[in-house]
Amino acid sequence: MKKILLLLCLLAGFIVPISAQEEEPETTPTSLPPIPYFVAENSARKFNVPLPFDWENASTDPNIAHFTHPDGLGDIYALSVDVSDPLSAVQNAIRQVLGDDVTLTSRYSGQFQLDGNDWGKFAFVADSGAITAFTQTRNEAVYVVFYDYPKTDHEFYFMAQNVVQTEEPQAAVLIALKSLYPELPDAPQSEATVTLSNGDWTRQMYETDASPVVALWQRRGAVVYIAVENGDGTVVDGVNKALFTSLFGFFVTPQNLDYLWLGLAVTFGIALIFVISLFARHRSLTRDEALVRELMK
Amino acid sequence: MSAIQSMNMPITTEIPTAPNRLWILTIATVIFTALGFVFAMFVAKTDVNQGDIQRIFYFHMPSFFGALFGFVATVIGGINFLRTRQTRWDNLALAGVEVGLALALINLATGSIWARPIWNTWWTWDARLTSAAIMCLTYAAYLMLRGGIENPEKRRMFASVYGIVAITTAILTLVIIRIVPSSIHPAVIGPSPQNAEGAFEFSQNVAMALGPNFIIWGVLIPLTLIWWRIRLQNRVDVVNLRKAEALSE
Repeated sequence: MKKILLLLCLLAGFIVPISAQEEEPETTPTSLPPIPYFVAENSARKFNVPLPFDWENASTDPNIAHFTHPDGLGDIYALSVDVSDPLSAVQNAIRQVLGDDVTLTSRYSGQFQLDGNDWGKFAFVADSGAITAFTQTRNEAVYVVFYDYPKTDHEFYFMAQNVVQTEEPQAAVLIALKSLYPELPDAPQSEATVTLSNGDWTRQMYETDASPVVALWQRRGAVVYIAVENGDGTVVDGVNKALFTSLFGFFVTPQNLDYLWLGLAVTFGIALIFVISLFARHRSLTRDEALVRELMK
Repeated sequence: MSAIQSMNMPITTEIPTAPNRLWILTIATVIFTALGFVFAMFVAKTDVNQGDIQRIFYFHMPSFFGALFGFVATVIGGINFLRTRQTRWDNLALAGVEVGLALALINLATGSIWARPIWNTWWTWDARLTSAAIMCLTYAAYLMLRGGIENPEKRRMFASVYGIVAITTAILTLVIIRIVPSSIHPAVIGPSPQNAEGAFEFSQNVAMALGPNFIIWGVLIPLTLIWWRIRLQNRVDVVNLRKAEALSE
């Protein structure tokens, strides 16, 4: 009975500190509903892509994300490729999804940094339309997410460009746009501010000898995000900003299984050492006891 | 000899054998520990943000509560020893510290291993980490100081008081992320501090893996080990008594 009471006292000892933790400060119920993610099933090559609002998950392969827009705004794909070179990986990924016979003409390629990770950025003109691709290289694999814009009469791309903290974002926007359209003038013909639910965006129109170029951009931290179209801007104006979430919210689950094994080894190792020490002390006592018996004799 | 006799110690030279209840508890603990491992490794899904290392949490957090279990046992042992002067309470206090310290070391080491891939460092002088380290050092000092006192009665008195006071370091470690808002250590129950890094969603499968491991590492393992450690200490007392008897003859 006393032992049971003792056990109850020990368990009661938890109540005070646990209740101290449960004192939650007031929280405002303003958190957004969770974004649905496609999560690749391959545990060694696990990646995650947010499904944009109004888009449908048309994935059939558990390791290839495929989102499609019901109004034909395009398709988003994400997959991992076991090729170390990002450009080759993007081309492999596009051909794996769209078919080996697809013709790809590179429009630009480059790198940028986002959340401490190195990203690759690519644009292609394909038979099916304009393709924007982003890559992350991790653990000898390249993770590719690409957006396939289906119309072939004009181009529509997403871009990202690092901007120095002290620099005006306009300079970075111009660098990005000129990598696609070198003939672009240094100043836009018109500029307006567009307010979307995630803040103010800048809409600029540049006149060129061919068709006009319309860019919609926003700076967030050290990155400026751009949607660009060589047309009258109807696609840019109608673009679902959630697409940015999908393309740049794409992330790779880190592979750190080695650290888990280390942690388990330490956990069970310390427990085992303690048990072994009990055994060792028990044996030592047994020897002492035998010695005492000898002395007693 | 006189010191031992003066403490109402049961004068018996019988070597106690482990009761069936202890063996049943031990076997159950081993089986449940294996089951808890299976829950953590196979039932819980991989955290998409943190990867597999997040699974260490199923041992990291329960082992802290296991340590707390041991340290609370030390407080109970210490208070009752001061009240009754019965050595069995001191044995409980000692067992609580040894088991608690082992589990606290598991907690500290697994936290450091988790931090390496998530925080990109093995160690940072964050409030929670620092208080956990102080807690470990405080209880390690208990064992060292206890071992340094020759007189058994003084040793037990000192250890009782020390063990009661030392629980403040464990309580401080538990609540410090609520007191110090700059802590980067995420909270498990309730909202994390605003600077917390490495928190994760407390989903159903997390709860399914955490619940059993909380009982296993927080209650079953410390209870079993404390019980065995008490029995060992009882045996130490008996052997010491026999030694004293042999020497007196």
